[in-house]
Amino acid sequence: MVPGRRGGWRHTVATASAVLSLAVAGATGCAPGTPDGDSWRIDAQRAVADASSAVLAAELALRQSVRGRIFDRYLQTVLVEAEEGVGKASQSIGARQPPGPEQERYQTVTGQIEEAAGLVSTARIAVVDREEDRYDALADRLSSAADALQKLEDDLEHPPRTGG
Amino acid sequence: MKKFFAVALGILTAIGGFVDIGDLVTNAQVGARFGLSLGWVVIIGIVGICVFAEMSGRVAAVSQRATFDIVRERLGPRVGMANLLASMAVTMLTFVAEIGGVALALQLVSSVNYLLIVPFVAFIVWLILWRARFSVMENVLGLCGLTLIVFAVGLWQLGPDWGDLAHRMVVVDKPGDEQWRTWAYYAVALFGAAMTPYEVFFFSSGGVEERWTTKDIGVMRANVFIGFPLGGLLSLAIAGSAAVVFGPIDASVDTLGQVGLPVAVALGKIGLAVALVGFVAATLGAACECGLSVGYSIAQYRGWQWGKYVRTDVAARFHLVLALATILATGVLLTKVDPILVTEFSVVFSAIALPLTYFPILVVANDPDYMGDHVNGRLANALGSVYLMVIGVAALAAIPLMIVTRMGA
Repeated sequence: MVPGRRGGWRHTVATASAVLSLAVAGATGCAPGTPDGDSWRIDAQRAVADASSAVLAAELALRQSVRGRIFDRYLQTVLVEAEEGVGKASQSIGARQPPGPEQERYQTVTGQIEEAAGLVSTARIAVVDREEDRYDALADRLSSAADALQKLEDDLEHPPRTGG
Repeated sequence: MKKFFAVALGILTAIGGFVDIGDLVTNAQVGARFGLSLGWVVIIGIVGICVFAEMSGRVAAVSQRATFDIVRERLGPRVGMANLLASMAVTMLTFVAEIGGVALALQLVSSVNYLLIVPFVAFIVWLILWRARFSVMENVLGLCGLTLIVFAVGLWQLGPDWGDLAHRMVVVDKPGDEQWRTWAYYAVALFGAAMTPYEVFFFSSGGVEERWTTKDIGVMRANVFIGFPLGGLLSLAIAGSAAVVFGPIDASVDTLGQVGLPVAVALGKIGLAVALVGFVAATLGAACECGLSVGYSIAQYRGWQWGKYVRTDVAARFHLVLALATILATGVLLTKVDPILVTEFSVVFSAIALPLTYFPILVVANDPDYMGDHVNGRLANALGSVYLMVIGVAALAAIPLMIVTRMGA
């Protein structure tokens, strides 16, 4: 075997492996583990934004139902999807170990997302049970939850404030 | 008069058949997050698909042979295989996404979980591919897909600031809270969605199925140059209506149900019902086109008998591929993979596969041995070459952008 060619072959394999790994990482939505505060904040922001979008979609659909502009089955599907969306957001951030200084906000993030998840579930149950008189009030509560999540998302732009 | 109707029908079905699950989802996602600031990408993508669809349609009309058949003969089995693998991988992924899209659309109508609907949809797709006449399939689903015009009506009814929307389309800018790399990722995704390879293969193979000759080149060009751009306007209408409804509340679009909400806001139940017909028709039509494209690609490369105008027992291997592809797509969906996620992958991987798909078409359309007097002119060559460069940049950027943005997060 020609040494140069062998080295070249190894180099080619190494390059191909690196490219393949990157492609697989991209294809599976995986990212390398990055335990710093910035990385956690980005993940937390994404989870909060996803939860907020799902809550807003549920609110929008409920309001359209109150105005008679959407079918019951469509509304039900949108709410089921919103419930799944908030659930996924909750799982994604709940499984991430926060760095020390972010422990407090971790509790806030997971707490608010779980609260939103509970609210969307309540709305979905009301829709399945056709409790139309509750839609307006539920939409208002979803709106408040979405506002709170959006404020939290803005807050996550910056590192936690240190006392003193 | 008969020719006029043929042209009109071709244009209408081209408009209705232009939008698929990739266009629906990607345009709504981009509209909600970026407004119409990426509208120019859709326009560039539409011009690109027109350039290459015209070339492949002309190749079919002049040679009466399909693209893969000629690519393999002209460029050899290696390039032919690369072309086949790249387009097949993307088309199969798109096939999965389209069947999932039909199931998601029917879930919105029935509120039955889409996983229970997937086998039913797959059976209907297979039945259409096996039994339905080509013209019936193309015309019925294409015309029903036209109902997506409801998004344009809805956008008009929502009363946006048209000047602002138009301004955002021509200025390269992004919302302040978004990053440029995310903007670039969605630009590549939109480009991939507009230039999906299966559309060109289906178009040219359909030309062979319908026995186009050089006399049909005029009609083919009318379909491409009028039908495709008008279909692209539907894409912009979907993005525009999502921008108007979701932009101000700062919400993103993650599901097909959310894609339809702007129409409900603008037009109520009737509009929503029409949009649902459009969702089902667009995704079902695209599923049939993808399924056929998988069969066309393999059969043409292998030199088998193919096509819906050939008796099924004569084109048995072609129909076996169609059946196996449908079973495979169903199996993938039944693993509970999210069809919207598959759609997002399909449009990005479409961008990656574009050079291997479109380069051979440019070569064949430039070969006087095949094309005679209908070989590419200067304009077609100039546009084709420029687009190959754009396609190359999009293909190279796709995976790195996918990784650094975590799929546009």
